[in-house]
Amino acid sequence: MPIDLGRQQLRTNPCEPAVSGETGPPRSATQVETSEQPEPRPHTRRERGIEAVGFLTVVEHAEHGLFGGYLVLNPAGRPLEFHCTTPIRPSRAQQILYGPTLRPFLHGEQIGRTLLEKARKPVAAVLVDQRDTLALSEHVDTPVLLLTGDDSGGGAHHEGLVDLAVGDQCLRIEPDCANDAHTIAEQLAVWARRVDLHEPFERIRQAIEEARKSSQ
Amino acid sequence: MNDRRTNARPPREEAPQPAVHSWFPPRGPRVYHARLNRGKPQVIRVPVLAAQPRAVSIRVERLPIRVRSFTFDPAAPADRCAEGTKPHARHDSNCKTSRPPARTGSTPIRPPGDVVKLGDRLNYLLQPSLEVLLAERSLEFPFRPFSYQMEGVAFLYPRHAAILADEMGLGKTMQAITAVRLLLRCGEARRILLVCPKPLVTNWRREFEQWAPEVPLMVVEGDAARRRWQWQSADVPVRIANYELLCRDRDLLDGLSDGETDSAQRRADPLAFDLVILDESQRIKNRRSTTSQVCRAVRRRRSWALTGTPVENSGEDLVGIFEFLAPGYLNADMKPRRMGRAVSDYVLRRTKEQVLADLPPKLMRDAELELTPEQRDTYQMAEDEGVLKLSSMGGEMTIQHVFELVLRLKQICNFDPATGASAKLSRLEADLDEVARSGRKAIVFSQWVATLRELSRRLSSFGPLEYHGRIPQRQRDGVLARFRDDPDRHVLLMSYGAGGVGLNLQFAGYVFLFDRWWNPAVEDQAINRAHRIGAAGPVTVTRMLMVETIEQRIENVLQQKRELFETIFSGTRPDRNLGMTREEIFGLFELRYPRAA
Repeated sequence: MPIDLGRQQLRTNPCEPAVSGETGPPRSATQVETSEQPEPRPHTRRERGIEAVGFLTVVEHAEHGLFGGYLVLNPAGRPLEFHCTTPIRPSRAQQILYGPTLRPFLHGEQIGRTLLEKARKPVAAVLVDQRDTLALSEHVDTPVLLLTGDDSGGGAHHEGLVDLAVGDQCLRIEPDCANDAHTIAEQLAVWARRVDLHEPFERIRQAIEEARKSSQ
Repeated sequence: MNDRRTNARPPREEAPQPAVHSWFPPRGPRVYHARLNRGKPQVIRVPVLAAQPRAVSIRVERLPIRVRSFTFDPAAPADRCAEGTKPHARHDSNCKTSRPPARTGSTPIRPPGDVVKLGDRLNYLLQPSLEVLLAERSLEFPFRPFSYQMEGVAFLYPRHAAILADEMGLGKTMQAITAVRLLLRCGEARRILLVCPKPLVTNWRREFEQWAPEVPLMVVEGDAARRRWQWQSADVPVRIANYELLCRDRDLLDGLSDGETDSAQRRADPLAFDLVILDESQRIKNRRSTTSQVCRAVRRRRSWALTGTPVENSGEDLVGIFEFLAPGYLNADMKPRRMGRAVSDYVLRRTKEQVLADLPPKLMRDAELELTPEQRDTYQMAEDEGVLKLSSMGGEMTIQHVFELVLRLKQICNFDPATGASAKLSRLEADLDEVARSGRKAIVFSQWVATLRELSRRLSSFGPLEYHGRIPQRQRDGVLARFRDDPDRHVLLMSYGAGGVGLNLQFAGYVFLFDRWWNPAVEDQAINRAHRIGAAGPVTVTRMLMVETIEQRIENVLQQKRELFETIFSGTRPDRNLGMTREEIFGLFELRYPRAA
């Protein structure tokens, strides 16, 4: 009897193993939990390993506010974990009272720390692509590095940061966190040779958009 | 004027002296007097009651954030099985290869529309780009693929049902082979069947050798016993079969494992495939045809169709192909626009204009010619007699009778049967002379072998080669090789049927359509043998058309029908893939289709 490939039988698991392949469990995603009050889980230097790197970005949506996304990748660039926030929008009082410190507060403390506390996999470093998100480094023990567009300086916006050359890509780090800079740079250089360190941020943005659409 | 100073409080010790003020009209000149008192100003104490200050506290709370978390298994099937599927021999170490550098392109693999769970969709979106996946698995290419080709691979790879409907010449073959290669290397497929028209089998084999030299493949052919063994052989991941052979082996394919649906049983079933690809899938557009039924009956998990012409005559063609991909998903009653929306996630269609900015131009020339006097006399007589005969048949007239007259008239447009006069030939000779003198090569298409033979005889000074249904299959590759390599062979005479699809003749700079096919899509396929990737320069296409004849009437009808394709596949240019209905064929002679008959 022929296999009926009617629409109702089309798979929903994108990486279902082949019929004839002994491929073990499917590579599917598992939604772990959804919680309003995450259990704090400190990231200590002891937990840090070189087998994973985190990528954190914040997307600003005109209608809904700020969405945060945190992606943990293994050295092959494969996703291990993904965490994203529901949108937050600061009140008018917060905007007045926090003034210019509002964005670092939202990016670093509110969104960044919350996301990292949810992650299970320790990472060697967290890469961010916005200066405001670098404020996360005050709240976690894991090194937080800013990935900038080029290695040609960066102007006043990046004043006070320490440069780290990683292959042909440029990272910056807060001076207080620069102790491990060279070790981190060596670890990331392996990645940078194989993948564009900017590319995972685009994945996060697409995933946030997908999650936003799915919740509408 | 009312002076405020007159209202000042007067000193207590003096009586106030108010100014005299009257509003009656004066009877004569009148003098006003104001007297300012200079007394000591009085101090008035006004108690000010200051409010007690109050502190107002604004509590700035953490904004409520919810987090959605997903974990992924990084050990993809690829990582576990890659070793098991690779290095099957045939790799040519001398092959000049290029690996798509992971950092020079970023083609995301997007989730198909039928993947609905958010976690599964994110699992696609969060994977590295196709370039990274290919580089990870050391998949090399003889040439660097175009970015649109990578997008095509990224489209096919995750899909269980898909039509790659790129315009001819954009490399559907290479895209399908690369997607197959990736599935094999990732362990997501182990048994793949490719079905194509018989003349294209060698072309597919050659393309596999070029784009996937490490993939073992088997062409199913030979006698029944040999084919049975070939079908059941377990150690070859890719099989190539032609449509006719598949139909012949229908019983063999149906014979085993009926009713098996359990995956373990299917694994043991040598005739179940992880993927079946139908090349030139318009061959199954008629759902009732044997070919369609046999293809649909092959046991499989994934179904891909490759065609440059997913709609030839009507939307029903697409319904026929979808019966193979996802039975029942489309029906013929759907409006074109709705059908277009329904298939949008399953069909990838690009035209050369959209994706190949660097492709040499295709210069279209319509050679509208007058019949020679001899041809005109013969033509007029044949048409008059034919129409009278058809009219006299009344209800017994069938489409075949009309066809016969159309074909007869078209043949006269090529050559006058009595004298051999031909306005087209005169024009063709003049053009070929220029082609030959410039050292270029030309392909001349006709629908009739007799016409090609006549052309061969009368164009002998150009050293023409023939490629049509009467040239044995085993000789055809040699014909193409001679045309390509021999500088004295300037002309290839080709039939639409034999040379219309799958051949790469991009070294020919000129294409002549000596007579016109019913369906412009077939003409496009013929033209694209030369106008495709790798073409060294502009391709000049000359379409020969005799004015005030049946050829011009057919062209006028087809001209009006090119909007359906655009409606279904919006965003691509109107396809030339619209044939003629029965009513339209009868209408060529202003005859009505006898419905009662």
